[in-house]
Amino acid sequence: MSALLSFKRTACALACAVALPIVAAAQSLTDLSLEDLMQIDAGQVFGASERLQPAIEAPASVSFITAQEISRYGYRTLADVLRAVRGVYVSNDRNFSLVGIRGFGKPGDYNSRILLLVNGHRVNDNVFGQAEVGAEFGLDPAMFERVEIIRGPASSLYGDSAFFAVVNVITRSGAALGGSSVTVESGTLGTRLVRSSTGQRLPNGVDLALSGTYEHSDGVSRLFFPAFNAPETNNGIAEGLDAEGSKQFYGRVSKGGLTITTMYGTRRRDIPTASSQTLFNQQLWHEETTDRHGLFDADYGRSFGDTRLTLRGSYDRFSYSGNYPFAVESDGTPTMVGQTEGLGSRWTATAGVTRTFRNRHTLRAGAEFIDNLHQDQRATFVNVTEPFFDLPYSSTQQALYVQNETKLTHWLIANGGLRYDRYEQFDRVTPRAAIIVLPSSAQSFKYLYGGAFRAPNFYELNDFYFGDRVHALRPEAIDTHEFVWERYFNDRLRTAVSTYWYKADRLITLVLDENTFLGATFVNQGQVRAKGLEVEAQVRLRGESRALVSYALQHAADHETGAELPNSPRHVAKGRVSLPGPIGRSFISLEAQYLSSRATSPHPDPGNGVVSTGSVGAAATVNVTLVQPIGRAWELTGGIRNLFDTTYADPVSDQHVQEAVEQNGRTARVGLTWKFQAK
Amino acid sequence: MRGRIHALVSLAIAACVLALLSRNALAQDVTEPALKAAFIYNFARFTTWPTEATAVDSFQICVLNDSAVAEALERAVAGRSLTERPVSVTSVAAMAPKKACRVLYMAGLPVARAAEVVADLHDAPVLTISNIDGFVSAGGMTQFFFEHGQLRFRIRLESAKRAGLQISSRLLIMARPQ
Repeated sequence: MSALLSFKRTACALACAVALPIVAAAQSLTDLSLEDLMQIDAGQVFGASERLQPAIEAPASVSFITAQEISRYGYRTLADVLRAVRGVYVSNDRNFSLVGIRGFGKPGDYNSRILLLVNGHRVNDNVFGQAEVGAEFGLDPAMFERVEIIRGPASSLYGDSAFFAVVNVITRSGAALGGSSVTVESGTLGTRLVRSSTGQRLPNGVDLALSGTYEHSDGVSRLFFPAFNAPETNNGIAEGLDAEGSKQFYGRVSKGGLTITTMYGTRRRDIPTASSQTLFNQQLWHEETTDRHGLFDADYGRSFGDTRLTLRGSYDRFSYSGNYPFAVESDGTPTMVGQTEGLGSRWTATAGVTRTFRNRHTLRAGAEFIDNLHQDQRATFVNVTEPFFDLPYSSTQQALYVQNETKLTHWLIANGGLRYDRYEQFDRVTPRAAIIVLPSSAQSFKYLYGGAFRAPNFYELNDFYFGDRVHALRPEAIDTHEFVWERYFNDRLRTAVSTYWYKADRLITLVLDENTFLGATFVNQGQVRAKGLEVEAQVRLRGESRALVSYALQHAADHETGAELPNSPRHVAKGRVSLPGPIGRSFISLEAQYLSSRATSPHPDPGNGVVSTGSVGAAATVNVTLVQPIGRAWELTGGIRNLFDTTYADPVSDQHVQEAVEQNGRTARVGLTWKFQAK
Repeated sequence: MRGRIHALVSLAIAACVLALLSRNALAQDVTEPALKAAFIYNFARFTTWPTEATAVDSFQICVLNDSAVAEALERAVAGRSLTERPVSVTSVAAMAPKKACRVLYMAGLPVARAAEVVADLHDAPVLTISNIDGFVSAGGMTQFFFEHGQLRFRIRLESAKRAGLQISSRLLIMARPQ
């Protein structure tokens, strides 16, 4: 009943999103003013080849989300941004957000098969390999200029982690901020936010941007988990254990070819689910995690005729700490409260050169050196001086890569790339090839072949937990084939169709091993096959607003058993539209997302120990956001997420007693921004 | 449940009505050549040529080495006029004389080669435009570049003045510093 209703609602919302562009009359581009033309997104992508190129010619299927969409749709995290993208789904276990793409979204993974970049620089941490996409990412989405989602493997350019997709977050310049602003927001679940930003380009060419954000949410005050429904665990109710708070700082300064970017973010979150066999509803010692990420990045680029040289030096620091109450006396004495810490830091130096030969060949070659100063893991117990384990690691990596694009004729592009990665324990060579046929400037057919690898991360290499067998771990690998058809119709409609076959082998998989501390270890044994079809239609409305509908059909299964992967919906459908509202200069933006049912991770039954797999039902959610400028200096925003209060749950890892964790119902927030323009 | 469906239907209808009523909801989707063509047309609208330069039957826009932009321009200017003359679009070869062009767009050349093409014009009243990096420093008048995924341009006023072209302040305000 509820799934059917969900489907009807989504279908209706999607139909509306499709119908709107059709009823809206087209206007010739030539009739637009220059001001309007300058607002149009020209569909350029950087992250597909480490240089700016039209997406229609890029060796990948690419999606973008722009700053304007982020503000119109009220996206508050990178996870919200990714949820808007064709075929991508994001699940949440009330601690971390997990990105699913092309049918892969295994609960318990740390997003280590997605490469996350900030302005082209890797920000997956070097302990867990994690791409953090919730508030723990550390950068406020209000500081995103655009987000590029580049589907498919890209290890031939980026190495480790570029397995299923690359997400490149391009941050805002001072010129783009164009002045100062102060925002306050308040919402249900005790949510409040304060943001202050300033930015401008000075007459001497220096561009400055600065921003700081504080956000806190009390979360759902009483969360009911049926798996804990017993009198000794408060009848399954976790009270006041869903709070999340974050602070984010961003700074950027640039002049000429030099850009220096800094960011620091910290997030603390209570975990209400009693994951990791902790005490349920423990009020004196909360289960909680704190993540911090700091980045200092200096990037320099200079052109010499047809040659462009880029040099980059970056320092990243990640830290993670978690509190895990396993046993606490009623007076609060922490009999057994575990504290785990992860510390990762690294220096990265890269040098690259791009050269165009006779306007037919574009060659890019680069070298990368990474010094992982810290890849440390440590665990202690409260009131115990000796650490439980203390594993300080460090390592270095080097890589060389080369990419070439050849325009064989004006309608045919051949693209090839190769990268050599050297680690202390192993090395890898990863290729990529693409043939792109452009029958006209408004249409392309692409055949894409790509490989990628993911190196074992230092969590998987934790021999205290998982025993000595993990020293034999080697990178997992993927081979993919993809066909893409992109077409622009009448300067107003863009369509994309993509079909793919993925073959992932030697996946690093947790298996039982009673000789290890945790009773399990990691081995290279998983094999997954996936195939799918994605379609998308997008209409750009005047002033950079646009409507978009997408649908993905996907099937990802274990090669040996044929079983569908957990958290892998067969159907993912989305629609969104942003339109001028009834009052002057206002915008109303509506989006709908539908996920079909998903299998949960295999969970042992607490009673008889039999391992079984369940599923969560299909779910459709609708969000609506209003942006209303008032006068020149003020802007009012209001948003409702999960407008129809749909009840749905996301599958979670087998570290949880629960198979799935229910997501938030309807929530609302309002905000007020005061802006003043730079002179 | 029924109430919710009603709510949804009303919302959908409201949104559709808004879309129909709204004068701003005019659909666009663009390729890069179409966008460049629209910019080039607008550059010409905000430029004034010496009267003798436009005392011919048609207003000629020439394109060197970019068939996609040439095609897009043909579509963009069909049935339109500039300086009260019908507009024609011509693809020209690198060696061909170009002094009859009122606008010359060039792409895909090494910057040194583009500088030679500009020098060969000997300050004839031709509005030169290109997406080539360093074009305005090499003597060109208008250069496209991308910023935040959007098309921007630089203008070198001295080059335009030497060729006897007047560029409107409306255009200059929107240009980025060189």
